[in-house]
Amino acid sequence: MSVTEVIMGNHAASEGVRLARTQVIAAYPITPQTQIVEKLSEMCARGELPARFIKVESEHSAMACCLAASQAGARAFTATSSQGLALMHELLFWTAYGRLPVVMANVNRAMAPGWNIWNDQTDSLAQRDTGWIQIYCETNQEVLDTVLMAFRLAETVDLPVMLVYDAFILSHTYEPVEIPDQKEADRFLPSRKAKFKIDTSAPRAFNPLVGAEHYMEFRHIMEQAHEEAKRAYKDIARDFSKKFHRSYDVMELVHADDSEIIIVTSGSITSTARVAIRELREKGEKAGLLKMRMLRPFPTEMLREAVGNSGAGKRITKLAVLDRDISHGAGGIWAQEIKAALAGVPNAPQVFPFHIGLGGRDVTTESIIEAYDYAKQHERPERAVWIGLKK
Amino acid sequence: MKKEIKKLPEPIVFKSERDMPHCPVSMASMEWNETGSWRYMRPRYVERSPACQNSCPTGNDIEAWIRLLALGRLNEAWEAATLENPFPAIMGRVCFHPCMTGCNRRELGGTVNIGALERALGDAMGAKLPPAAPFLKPSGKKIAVVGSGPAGLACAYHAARMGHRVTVFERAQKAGGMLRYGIPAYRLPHDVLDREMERLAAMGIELHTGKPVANASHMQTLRQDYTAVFLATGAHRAKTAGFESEKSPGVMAGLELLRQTAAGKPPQIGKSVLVIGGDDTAVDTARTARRLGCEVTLIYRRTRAEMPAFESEVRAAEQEGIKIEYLMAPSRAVIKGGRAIGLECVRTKLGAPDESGRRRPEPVKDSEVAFESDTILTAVGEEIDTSIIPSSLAIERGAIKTGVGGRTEWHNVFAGGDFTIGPRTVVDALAAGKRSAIAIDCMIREEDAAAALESASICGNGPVLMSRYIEKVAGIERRVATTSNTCIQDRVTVFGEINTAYFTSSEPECAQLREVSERLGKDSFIEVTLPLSDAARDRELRRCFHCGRCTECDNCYIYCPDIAIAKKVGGFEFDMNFCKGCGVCSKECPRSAIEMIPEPTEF
Repeated sequence: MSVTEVIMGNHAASEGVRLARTQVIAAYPITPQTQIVEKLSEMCARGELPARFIKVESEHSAMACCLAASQAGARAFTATSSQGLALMHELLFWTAYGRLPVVMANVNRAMAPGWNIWNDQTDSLAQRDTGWIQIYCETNQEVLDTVLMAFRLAETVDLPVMLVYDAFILSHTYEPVEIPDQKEADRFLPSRKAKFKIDTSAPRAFNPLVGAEHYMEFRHIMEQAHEEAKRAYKDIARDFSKKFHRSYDVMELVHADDSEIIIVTSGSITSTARVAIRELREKGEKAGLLKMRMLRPFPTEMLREAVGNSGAGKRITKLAVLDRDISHGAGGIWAQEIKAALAGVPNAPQVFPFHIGLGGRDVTTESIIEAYDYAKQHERPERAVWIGLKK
Repeated sequence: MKKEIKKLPEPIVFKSERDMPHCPVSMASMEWNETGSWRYMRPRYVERSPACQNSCPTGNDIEAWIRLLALGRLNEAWEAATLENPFPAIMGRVCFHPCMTGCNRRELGGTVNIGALERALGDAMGAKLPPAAPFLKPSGKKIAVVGSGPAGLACAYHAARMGHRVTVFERAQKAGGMLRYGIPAYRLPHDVLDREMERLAAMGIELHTGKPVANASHMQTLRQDYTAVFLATGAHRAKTAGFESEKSPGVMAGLELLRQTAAGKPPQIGKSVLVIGGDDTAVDTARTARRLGCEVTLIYRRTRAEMPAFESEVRAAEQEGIKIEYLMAPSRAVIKGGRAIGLECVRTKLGAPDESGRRRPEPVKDSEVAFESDTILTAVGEEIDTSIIPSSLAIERGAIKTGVGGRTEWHNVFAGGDFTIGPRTVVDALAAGKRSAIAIDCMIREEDAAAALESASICGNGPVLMSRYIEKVAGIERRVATTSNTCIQDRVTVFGEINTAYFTSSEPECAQLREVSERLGKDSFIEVTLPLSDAARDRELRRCFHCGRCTECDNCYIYCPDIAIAKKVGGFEFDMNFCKGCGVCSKECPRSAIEMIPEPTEF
């Protein structure tokens, strides 16, 4: 039987890792991630989780341990944030290109300088090209559930998965979370069966020199794995929903039937936006909400289907994309992704990019409505609009 | 249990993307190379010839004895040195040390003072006199050596070590040849020489002094009584200088002065002497005369730059008050009462180069100069006395005709040293004696001497190594071991292969000379060159690069990023299960004793 407890987002991640029967954990502490591994170390010490807990001297080493453990066939987990994730960068490629199903929790924290420990998605979005699957969470429950789904997805398509959630707003905030029991979790997530693993009785060479004659094929094979991940995710989400009665699609469109202007969000802003939409609707606005859950693989086809106005005239006129991130010199990263996915779609809505809540600045319903109003009042987008900027 | 891998598995070729695994992984077993295909080069320890050894005509393994001496292992150092060159105490004093010309240290502060170290080694053994034991069982064969100069003694020594019974015949009252009668005692003290002769006698070599092999018929008898005969009677006949009235009383050969002085009966030569010549014999003659109390003027027809004598000897002669007249040639002895009382000379100037490459001196018109003298000493070179060569043996360029290993037209008669054509130095004589000893051994074994000498020589044409010869004929390992599992390579280490990051530039330690007043004092034949102090010797020992030889400095062991080098007693070992072939060990070896080779594909 599952139990419901009021726990912080970080501990929701820890519970997911325990239920996944993770075998190797290696992590280096960084605010706001620290409590995930603190909790896991306690679980290991108490014997609740019979995993090998490896203390390391850096995030680079943490990922090195995890990828090596994964290469040996183990289920491996780590967690980090911001600068720690940036330090891992090289090994993120090693893990993904080595096709190792490591799962990592990244608690979104702003990049320094200025030194800042608060919420901002630039850290994880900056790693979008490393080949990792990225899934963004809205609630503590979603965090726990996504850990289980992430391992299953990772081991199905042999790709690492980064589950991402917001600093403090989720990581340190207590919410009621339904914690499945181990049997339920086991029924959803079987033990890992690696296709190739380190075996001293039958030695193989892993990750050797690959010349131009084969490198491109490896990239193509991996790109196909990302395509496969989209399909696999649907099956896994369906199975999860069946077993746990909670469903998480790649994206969620609220008020799909009559929205004209849609606010696009990811992470915990979504919850605030749900309130903003309600207020707008109460005023008679045809406001909608699109929650983006997956950055990689990017759900291009689903996005086009959801907001591309296919065969229905041009009802959805505008998307107001809220980016709690910035790719300096090019604007918001989610907005770029969405524009790219809609490029060439005949009836595609206009995409209005907004920067909001960088470095942990509070995102309120009022600030979201400000973005909505801007989109409504302007015929077409020009450049990214900064919401709440001191003038 | 590890499987024995004999051969690489057949390569797997991916024809299409569908054949490929989802991640970069070998599809076949990697048991043949557990580090994986990252490693396509592998390190191995090598041992190469240091440049000094290759530059020494005797192939003296200088690096080995320096290494052992630095470790305080004196007996082993002595063994290593005397393997190729029997006389460290002598050679440390008289050799011109071509090894030092070869020494790679030259490029970083100056060549190692091998001469001083060699003398230190020889003197450290001093009175201990360990007779060298034969490597091989007694052969029962008798060998006669005629002449006890360096060539004869070297042949006797090496032949004795190969198990043969050797008898040396020497015309003079004492053994040593030119070492005793040509090189003055202030350069090579007689007690040093006597010590070495005693050591040879202790080895069982019979030294018969005062026994000239006077003529060809005596030669015939020898070659019948002995399995082999080695002729090394040297070149003792002084050449004539070619001036008028040279045969008069009051004119004598410098060599004769040296001989009589060495024998303890210096001739009466008066107070004022002239020495004619510019080679080492001329300088030795001048300095000997000076020590006998004479005012000495050296007359040489070229300039200082063309002078064949050692620069250091010329400098010492000048310090001792010997005047040198350059660009001066003798034309006529001034005779009074049937005796030369002076010398008329003519000034010269240098013309076009002659066949030796040196510029030919030409007389300057109306430039006559006269010198007074009690005695005129000539030292313009030596000739071979060919009277003991039987008429049936061919003579070529004034010497007996010889072939491989000094073999003459008579199958069991060999010759070497100054008695034959070739460079006339002590070290070349030692090398010739060794070559002939090996050739004689080959004759006895009925083996091809040319092939044996070639295989025993560095790079096939360098110095002949006794260590290689005895290893080949009897499997006796006398090489001074470096690290275990070393691949011995027939290659000479060059300066570019030394990692100079590990060495600082430093100047060599130089031996001091005795004060001039002491040199010309009561004990005037006292040795001029002083030994290095113990501290200076130790500093000099540490200057050696040990080119191409492992000294167990631990650099490879420390630098290996994969901890794939194990330290064992007597060296190191690579663990190929961990080596990724990065080459750091090879790069960081200060002395090029590790090389990278392609990963073998057959085992």
